[in-house]
Amino acid sequence: MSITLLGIIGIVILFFMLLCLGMPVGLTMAVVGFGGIWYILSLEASLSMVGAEIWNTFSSYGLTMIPLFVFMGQICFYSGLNERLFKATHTLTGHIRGGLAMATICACAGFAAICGSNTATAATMTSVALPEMKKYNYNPAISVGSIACGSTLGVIIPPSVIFIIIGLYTGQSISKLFYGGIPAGLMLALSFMATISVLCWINPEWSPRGPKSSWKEKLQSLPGFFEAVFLFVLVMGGLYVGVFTPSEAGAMGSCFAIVISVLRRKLTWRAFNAAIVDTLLISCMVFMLIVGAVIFSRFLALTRIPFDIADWVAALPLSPTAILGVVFFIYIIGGCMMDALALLLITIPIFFPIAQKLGYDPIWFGVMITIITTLGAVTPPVGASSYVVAGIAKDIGLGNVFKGVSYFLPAYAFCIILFMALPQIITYLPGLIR
Amino acid sequence: PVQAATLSYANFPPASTFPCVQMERWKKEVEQRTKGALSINTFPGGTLLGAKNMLDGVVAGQADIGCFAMSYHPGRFPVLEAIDLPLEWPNALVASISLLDLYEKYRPKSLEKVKVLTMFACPPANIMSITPVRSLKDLKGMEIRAAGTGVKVLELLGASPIGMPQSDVPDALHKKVIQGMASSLEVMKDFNYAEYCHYVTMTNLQVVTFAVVMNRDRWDSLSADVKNMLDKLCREQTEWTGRYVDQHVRDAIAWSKSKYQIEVIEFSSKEKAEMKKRLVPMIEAYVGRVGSQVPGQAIINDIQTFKKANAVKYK
Amino acid sequence: MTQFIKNLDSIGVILNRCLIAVAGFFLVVMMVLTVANVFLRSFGIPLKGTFELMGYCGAVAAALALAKTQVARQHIAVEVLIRIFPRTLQSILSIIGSLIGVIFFVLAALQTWRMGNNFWQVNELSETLRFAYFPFVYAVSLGLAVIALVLAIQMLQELKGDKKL
Ligand code: NA
Ligand code: NA
Repeated sequence: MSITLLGIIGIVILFFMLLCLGMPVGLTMAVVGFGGIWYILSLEASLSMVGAEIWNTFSSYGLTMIPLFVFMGQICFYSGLNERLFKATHTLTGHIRGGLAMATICACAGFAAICGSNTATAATMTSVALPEMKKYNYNPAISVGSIACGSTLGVIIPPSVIFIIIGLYTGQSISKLFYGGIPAGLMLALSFMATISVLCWINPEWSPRGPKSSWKEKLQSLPGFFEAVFLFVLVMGGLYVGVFTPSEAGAMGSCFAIVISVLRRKLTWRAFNAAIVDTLLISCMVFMLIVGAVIFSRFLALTRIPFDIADWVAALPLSPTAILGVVFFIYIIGGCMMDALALLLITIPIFFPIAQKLGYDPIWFGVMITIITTLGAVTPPVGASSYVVAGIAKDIGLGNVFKGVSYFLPAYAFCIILFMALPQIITYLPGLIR
Repeated sequence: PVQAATLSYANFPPASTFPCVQMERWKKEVEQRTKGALSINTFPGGTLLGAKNMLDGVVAGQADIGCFAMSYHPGRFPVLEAIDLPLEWPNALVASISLLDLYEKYRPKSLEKVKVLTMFACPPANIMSITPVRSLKDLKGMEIRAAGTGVKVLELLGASPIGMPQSDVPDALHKKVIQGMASSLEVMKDFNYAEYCHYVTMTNLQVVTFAVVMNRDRWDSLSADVKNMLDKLCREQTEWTGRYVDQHVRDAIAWSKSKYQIEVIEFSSKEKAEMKKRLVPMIEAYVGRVGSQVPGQAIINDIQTFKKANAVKYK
Repeated sequence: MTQFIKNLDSIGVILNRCLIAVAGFFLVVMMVLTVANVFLRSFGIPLKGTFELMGYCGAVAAALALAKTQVARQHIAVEVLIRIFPRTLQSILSIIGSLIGVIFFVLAALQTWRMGNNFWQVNELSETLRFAYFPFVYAVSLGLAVIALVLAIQMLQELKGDKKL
């Protein structure tokens, strides 16, 4: 049997096990990757890989950001901050159709500006925004869809783990990538809100309109924003001034959240413990997903499928734009199958030189593949952000998450085409810095 | 079920970095010299094995060949870690050849389970900083990013070493959480640190050592001809890599000078003497630490001999 | 048999409560460590090795929470298709799934245990603080062993038809 065929069989088995055995996704990817490497190499090699990858992922300093940012969100959640925040938001936007879902997108964009990872944004925003949308009887699919898609802003709006990795792996300036991400993220957020607006205009029953509040009520609701804004300013300010690094921001944010909640007497010992347990469970689930994705991608690398695809693309007798289209298409398909980070790690060294040879701006290319692979993080069958949302919103289910995500696909398509037609949107800001 | 004539070669840093460049060169040489009888599949960027589990992964057969940094495993290579000490290496070439000399003289137990295909070192660490470091006084209390041996080295020089992952460095430099970093200088260009650090002080401190190793069973399965050829290639490859990375650093400095007008600072001979004096305890500590396992002082003496001879030989 | 499963189950519950307490402790340690480092750094005395300690603490926190995450059904699965299967088939499939999980986690636990032994033997030290960190590897191994145990209990319960999975 050829090794490529083996890789394809591995992918088929993965989907069969995912769909028919109902096994946890991280575990399934790990098991198939483990079995594949066992078959190609040996049991000893495969065991060694599994042990090492579990240890490496669990003990990775970069990933400690996840539990700490989740912890910050959970502390806010258990001290009722989100409820006050959304009461305030609802007072302001409640009378607009889909106002709460739009507020969710805004909140995701805001949280993305302090969080560097998709999954942490998805986890926190689900616990923060979903209960409120449920309370106001929002359509479940549109609720989880807006959270899942909003969470992809986590790595598009800086700081961003993905930009950092792209920057390091390609020698591009990380700050330029960050600046390129700002307009891209804002444009996406606007498109998401436009989508919500259109959907809720067509289906008014999806988002029950709240009562229009008076100016007095609006003014009175403003203190509801206070804590959130204060926390945001502390974390962003600390980052901006340089008191701490992005990796440390999660811990600082958690600490600030605890201090604020305790001072306001909103955090009981019981709630504190609940926040810890929830944080552990969410982080653990995310870690297991990453372990699975890494083990599976080791297997794929061994079958050389990712490398073969790259060689094939480079040899295509097509125009630069067409080749770029093929590359993006491969990223979309790859994003469906694999974890965004694992996919990027395998493909950047291969596709980046191709894009540069074709004369595309490296910052623009970096931002584009970030958008495209994060799209993969919400699409079926393997979409880490969607899984995270579904993992917390148990009663709504993964099917509804994917359905909700599908409403936002035109918004993604619009932005991707827009950025291809007018690359200046992305390259303008980075061009301003030296 | 894998063809006997194909070997997998895993590497951990990104494809553009020098450990991967030397991997591709080695692959090309081997394929040419065996006229294609042996072909090498390369896996850069940690796609098959990560930095920390490379050696154990090769022993277990996860990859046939692996390139890893011995310096990332303090304590595990008591003989070869002596090369990591701040022994005033002039460049990567001399450090690399001396590393191989040391390996061949002692054949340490820590690498018994694998076949060593080549070894090399990165260029010695220098200080890149936002504000100039013209004397050790300037360095006092300065927050400098360092890893591994570098932490102790900088502490002895009076700086305040900070450990952080590579990915945090640009942001930390930008926000001045750190005032500089100590490592070999190719990062000025490769990671664009020249954008933030406009001063380089030539301190020639510690190096990071790498070994390229092969699974024993795999090695035993090769024909005598191929084994001979690979053994011959070992030292050639060490020399090639040393020369390549030294040139790469010179290019990076030239690039940083023309793009960001960085200034390269040399310590006065008085400062240099003081620096050397302050670092002596590190070498003494090494001899004391490994004393029960290996003859530390003899190893240091050997390294000094190798260094002197190689510095003359590879002008 | 039923009594045996019940005993096993209560052992699992107690074990999980202990592990979660330890994991939570490490989570708080991570936060405190980082905050302390940020503050002390501003006074020019950074805590050496925060970076590697954070990684080790994170490993313990996540690994010890593995089993509890399984009990709480937090590990995400794709249940879209399964829901439409007949009940007996669902049961059989989920037992197969659990069995695969048990085997995998037992192997993973044994392997990480071997890794810990190896790190001990070859004197693997942390990069900055240079201490032997193999006990953290053992902690991860323990977490993997307990999730295997929990999966086994769930499988037995499904076999006996005691509890809906
Ligand atoms: Na972000
Ligand atoms: Na996907």
